[in-house]
Amino acid sequence: LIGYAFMLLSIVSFAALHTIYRITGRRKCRVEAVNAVFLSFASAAACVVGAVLQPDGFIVEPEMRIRFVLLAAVTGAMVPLGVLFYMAALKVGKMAPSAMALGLSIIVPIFGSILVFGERLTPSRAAAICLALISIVFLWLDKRGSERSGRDVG
Amino acid sequence: MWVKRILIAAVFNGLAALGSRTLQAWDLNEGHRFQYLALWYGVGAVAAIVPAIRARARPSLADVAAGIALGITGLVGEICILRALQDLDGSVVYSGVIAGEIALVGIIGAVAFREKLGPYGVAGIIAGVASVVLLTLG
Repeated sequence: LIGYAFMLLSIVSFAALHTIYRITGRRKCRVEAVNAVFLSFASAAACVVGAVLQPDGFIVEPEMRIRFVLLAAVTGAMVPLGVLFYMAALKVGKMAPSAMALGLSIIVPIFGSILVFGERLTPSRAAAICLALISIVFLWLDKRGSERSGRDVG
Repeated sequence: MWVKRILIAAVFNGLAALGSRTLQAWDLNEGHRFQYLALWYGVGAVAAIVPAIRARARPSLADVAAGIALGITGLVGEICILRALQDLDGSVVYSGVIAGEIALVGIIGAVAFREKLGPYGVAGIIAGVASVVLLTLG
């Protein structure tokens, strides 16, 4: 039951995150400044949380150290770009379809796992990728339809 | 314009998430998760400061509050996922969190921002959630 309670709390936290993005994107906030504050704060907070929850985690095996840092550096550089484009998308789009489309980014690591780690493309994964593409087409049709009928709330 | 922006955001977000997948493959995800996140966000912060300086975007009080709120909600979400994974299977946690998050965001959008979804939007979200559930189940 505790596991489900934490899952629920996680859902509420991430939904709050999208809501803050939505408010920030449409208000007179400077997205570049918000992005810089967000990532700086998150980095410092993750450091503190790591020190409390995983104190041994600061020591990485010497042979993995460079790889660990490089991986975090290369993928971490993508984060602000993703956030800026997401906030830009929220300026002209609705919250739920935007959050859904962002959630579908899970496909990228799946492709990565297949290409880099040689994982198999199982029938269920292939079906999931097809469903994701269908989802994007439907979301695009919804967006187009709402623009035509003036259903978009700005 | 929305499709273009959201697809670019999804690709960058996916590439950023590829790091977590790689960390898992190296067996470093369990014990070094927050140290990785600290570095990951830290590099992101450095990369974010450059366009902020270029845009001469000196943060206002509202910008700082929004940034801190984003940081808190993001980290609380991460901590809760890690804690839930101690009791539940990863496929249950990840598919449940993504499906629940989309549903709740949809409700907030409809109630707080009066965003209405048409039949295509509802179908798109159902297909998307089904896709995520299938992916997390393997």
